Amino acid sequence: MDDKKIVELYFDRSEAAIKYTEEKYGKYLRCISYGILGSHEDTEECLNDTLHAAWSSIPPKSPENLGTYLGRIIRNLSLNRYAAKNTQKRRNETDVIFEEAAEFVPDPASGFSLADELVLKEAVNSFLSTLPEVTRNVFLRRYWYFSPISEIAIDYGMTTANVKITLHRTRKKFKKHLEKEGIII
Amino acid sequence: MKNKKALDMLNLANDEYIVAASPQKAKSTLIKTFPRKRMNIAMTCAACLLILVFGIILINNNSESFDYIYNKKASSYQKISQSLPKVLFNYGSTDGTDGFLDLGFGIIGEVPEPDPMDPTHNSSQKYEETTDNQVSGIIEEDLIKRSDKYIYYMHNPNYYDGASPTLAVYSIEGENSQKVGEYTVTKRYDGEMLIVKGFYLSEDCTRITIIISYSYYHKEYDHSTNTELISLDISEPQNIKELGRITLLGYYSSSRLVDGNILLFCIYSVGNKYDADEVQTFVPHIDRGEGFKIIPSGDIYVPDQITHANYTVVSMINETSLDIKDTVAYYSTYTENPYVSADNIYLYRNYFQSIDDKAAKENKISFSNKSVTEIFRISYTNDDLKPMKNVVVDGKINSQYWLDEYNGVLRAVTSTQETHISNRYLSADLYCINIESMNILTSVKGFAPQGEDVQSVRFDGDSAYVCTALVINLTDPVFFFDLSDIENITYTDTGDIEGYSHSLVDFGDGLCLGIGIGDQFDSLKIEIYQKGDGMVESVCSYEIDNSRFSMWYKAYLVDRENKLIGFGVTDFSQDPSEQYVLLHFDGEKLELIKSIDIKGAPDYKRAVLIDGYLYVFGKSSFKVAKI
Repeated sequence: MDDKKIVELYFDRSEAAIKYTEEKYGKYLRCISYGILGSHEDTEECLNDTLHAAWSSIPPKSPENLGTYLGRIIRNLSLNRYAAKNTQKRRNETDVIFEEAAEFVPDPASGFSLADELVLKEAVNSFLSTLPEVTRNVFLRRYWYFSPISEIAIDYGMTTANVKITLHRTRKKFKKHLEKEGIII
Repeated sequence: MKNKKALDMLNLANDEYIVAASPQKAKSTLIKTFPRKRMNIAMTCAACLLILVFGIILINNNSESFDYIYNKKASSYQKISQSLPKVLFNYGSTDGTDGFLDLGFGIIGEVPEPDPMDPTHNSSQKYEETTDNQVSGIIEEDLIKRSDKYIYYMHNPNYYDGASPTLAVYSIEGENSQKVGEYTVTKRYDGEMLIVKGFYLSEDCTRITIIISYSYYHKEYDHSTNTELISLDISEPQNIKELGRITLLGYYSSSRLVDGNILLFCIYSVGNKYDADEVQTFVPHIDRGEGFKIIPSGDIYVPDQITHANYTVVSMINETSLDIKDTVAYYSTYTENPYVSADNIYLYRNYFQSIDDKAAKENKISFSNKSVTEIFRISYTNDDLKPMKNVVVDGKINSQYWLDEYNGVLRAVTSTQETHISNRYLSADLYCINIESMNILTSVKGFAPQGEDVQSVRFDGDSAYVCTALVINLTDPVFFFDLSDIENITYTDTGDIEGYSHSLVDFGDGLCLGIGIGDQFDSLKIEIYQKGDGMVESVCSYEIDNSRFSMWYKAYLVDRENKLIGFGVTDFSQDPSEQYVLLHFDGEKLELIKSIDIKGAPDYKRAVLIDGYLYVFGKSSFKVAKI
């Protein structure tokens, strides 16, 4: 069933909307959440919360791309859950990704003011548009989907060393780009 | 935190970029672009291999194996196969093109039986327990074990930190103690991520069994996380020898050492390469000395409501030889912390169940479900595992400590969650279940304040302490249950206290020790509770603000006799910040009696107190202090 029809079901307050949403996007959403949390129980709870959020927000929202709309919700919920529950746990893959992300936090010494969301969105997407397709996909797989390096390497036919170098260089470029745009976060 | 803001920022990426980068898109692109010639060669090899495998099976005339593979009437396999399209989701494995190879459990290298005439195997050491096991005699793995002569500790268990995990052996000689031997766990594959989960010391102190979880994508097995057991001869600490290894596909969940057997719990997830017509592709394999075979259909429990495409696989392994004595598997079950009593193993699976909310449906605002848990009992002897009955309760179970057997009754505490469209109801239940019938005898429903989650539980005979908390507000009450008469269960509580306990521990003399979080997430709080008249009261507490500490109970030294609590902490107000701290409870207050500078993550630091000396172990070093 296409997204438009599913959204119509939400507007009609039909419970079939939840059913079709889970059928179409359940796997995708679980993949995002599990990549961050690494726990089935937490993943199921985040999925439950996401479906609940979808029911509560549509209407009035009417997302054109339901998959990415829900993907953003579950990603946020998972990141928040991870930050709250795992401040003291041993290091794992998600911790490593958090640490890598530090490398593209722009230097506050650049002296510019905090960015609002529109400016930030423009900065993020202008950077991503400059990247070759594979590099962009590798970067987002790692920092949006929280995929392990070994999996990214296999999916894109690269060595793990190659993936690591690509990510390292892209993080540095991203940081420079944000500083050039006057962004601090 | 800034790192999280940096990751949040990527949520602003355009939809087209996010969709293009999705794992599913990458896999379909890879299959389309894979060179045709290699694909043809790979498929030919796969076909030959399958013919060979089938041929061997047919020639072998092993009717048991034949039936399990080919018998489409094997009900467990059929149910599992039918469920997969709905419940399988991508764990990260990819479609390979090298064809299917046997995947499964197996022994790599023989593990010889010790020679009773060999003096090096006639250890004169005496085993001393260092781990505060939940059930006496049911030993849990840990990063530290000891005998009366040596302390064994695993330095750098997490390979993420860059250094290899190293098992070191130290003499017990007070301030003259020294390292007398070591064994380094090395990576076998480039790109492998490796964590030592713990190890066991045999009762005669001649062997150590190390348990490793490693992440490496074995393309031919379509598996990324695997469990390995390494058996070592440590009868001569200066000359530690590897005896053998066994590798099991699947994520390491937990284990116990009981009467010379290791009960091993692994989570096996079905990969994307599964073929609904090929049972080998979606059922775990096992080698019990006769080559790899899929777990028989009769040894797999399949629940009525299937929610996940994974198995909790329970194996009974001879600790000496690493032979696998028995195996059972529970499909759609993911138990990270099973409870093991002297006679039974309890697995559990949490899932959401729809609620029939008539009023909501009439108003077309139906979205109602509740969290439930199915608890499975497996009876075990020295030789086998026997699945018994199961029960479904409301709520979820998060930890082995939320379950406890006592006088033929299984007690269980659950965190409950019900969702009715815009309302969410969170609370807690306590159940008393007849172990034989697995029928619920009595229950206490909804005892926690609305909105609170269970954080920790500790059963102690006919009583229980339960900490629930509103985590976001960092407040909790601690409940005390009198379970001496399960027909008339009574309870009392502390009222709201700042912070919450992630571990509750019997501290002797009617005291309960709470280890957890104070008024901030980076504030460690140690608290002593006592049951008073009609209430539970906090006797005293000790807090370390602005710190990093472990949420893992095994990282804490609890000495009930001397009323000591030891733990690793990174106290950012101190310089140096990485320490091991020892507190003493004098009956009225907790006070710091020792603080030792030692590097390492709090999760991995350990200490033992022997004859007035505290032996402390950290990342790469150890220290001894007189107490």
